[in-house]
Amino acid sequence: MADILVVMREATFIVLTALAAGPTHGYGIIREVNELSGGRLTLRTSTLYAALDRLTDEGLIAVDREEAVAGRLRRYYRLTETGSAALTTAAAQQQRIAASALQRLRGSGLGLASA
Amino acid sequence: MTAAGDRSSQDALERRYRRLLLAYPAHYRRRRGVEILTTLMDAAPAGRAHPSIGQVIDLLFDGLRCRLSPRGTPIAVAVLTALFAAVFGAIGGSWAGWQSAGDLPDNTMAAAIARTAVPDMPSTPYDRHDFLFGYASPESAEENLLAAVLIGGDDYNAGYVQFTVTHAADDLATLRAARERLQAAGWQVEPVVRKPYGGELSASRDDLFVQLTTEGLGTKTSLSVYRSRPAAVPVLTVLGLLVGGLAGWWLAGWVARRVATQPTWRKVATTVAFTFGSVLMILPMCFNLITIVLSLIWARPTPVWIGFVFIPTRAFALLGIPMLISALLTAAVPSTPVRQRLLRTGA
Repeated sequence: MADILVVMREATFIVLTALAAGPTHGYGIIREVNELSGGRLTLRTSTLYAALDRLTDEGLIAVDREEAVAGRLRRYYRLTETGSAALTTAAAQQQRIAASALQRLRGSGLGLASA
Repeated sequence: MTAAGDRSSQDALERRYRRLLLAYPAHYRRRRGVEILTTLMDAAPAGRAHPSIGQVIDLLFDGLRCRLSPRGTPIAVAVLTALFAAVFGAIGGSWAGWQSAGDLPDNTMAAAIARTAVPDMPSTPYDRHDFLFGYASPESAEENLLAAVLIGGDDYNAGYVQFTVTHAADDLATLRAARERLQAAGWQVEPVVRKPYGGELSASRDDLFVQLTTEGLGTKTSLSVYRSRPAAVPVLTVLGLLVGGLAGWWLAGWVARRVATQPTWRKVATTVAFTFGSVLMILPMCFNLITIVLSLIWARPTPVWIGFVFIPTRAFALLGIPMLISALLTAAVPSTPVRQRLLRTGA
């Protein structure tokens, strides 16, 4: 799992996080990502679908269901068990790294103001 | 904006998005087209009738990326296919370029050139082949030709008119004197080069290329007049290399997509044919690739398909090419759906 964490890109991490609350369609993921990043990130359609293709190939996500309405198609994606496990481990590792960073900053006296 | 105006903007926006989605390959549009369109429309602010410049660029570039992406293909297979196709493309380009070459000079004119370089040269050629490229086997031609067709030969060359004479003195001195005379006659001459077997001198003028070789002290000097490489050859060779490479990259992705939906036996057959075909083709393709690079450096007329005619690489190519074609055909022929098959057989 450590190898996956090393190479897990931000786009992968954030798309998996967007799906962690439950199955969501393309635009839903874009909105979730925007919200999760505090408005900092807006996924382009190309980035979103390249990530969805890649994550599907890697078995981290799967199609949950499809809704066809008035010539439109909303395809909902969900995390697979592998995807949930990968996200759990990645999130835990990021949490550990963030905690270590804050601890070190406090130790050096540099991070007191912001911590 | 009124509801009708909003509807009209939405329709216009949808039409424009649909047009932009044509940048994607058909197989991707079938799988993702409506879904991406839905996402784009969901994300569009009310009243928007035109995609933003950023969206236009994003969709066009992503469509191109998608067209060139060998998704689902092992990278080694994609690279090998692209390399093979690039070599085939370069060969096609070079061959097409050579079609613009003129005729060899007649014997009288060729003899005049030979005597300009070496005044002792005879007035009749020792050997002459008017083909652009071919096997030059003067003895028992039929027998040699059959062997050449099956396993290749080592005397494949550009067409030439050749004169020979026995030189009396130092062979390099003969070449140096020839160099001066050719230069004086307006030929662009290269330096005399010492070779293990004697010496060599090259010169070119207009659409002709001359090569003199000697075989050491007291033996003969040969002078061959060739066609010069037409200006279109390097251009078309490089163009063929690039176009072939891109086409091969795309082909690898296309084959992978076809194979993914086929029964296991077809997948195995395609893989086996491609693997054996590729292994057999490695040696001929290496010869071709090296010659392609050299042909862009050398002035001497060079057949960049040498790997397909040289002994014994031709034999490998004769086995390898049908295998690669059969891999392609196995992947290309559509699968018969099981249901249709059952209906046809009445089962």
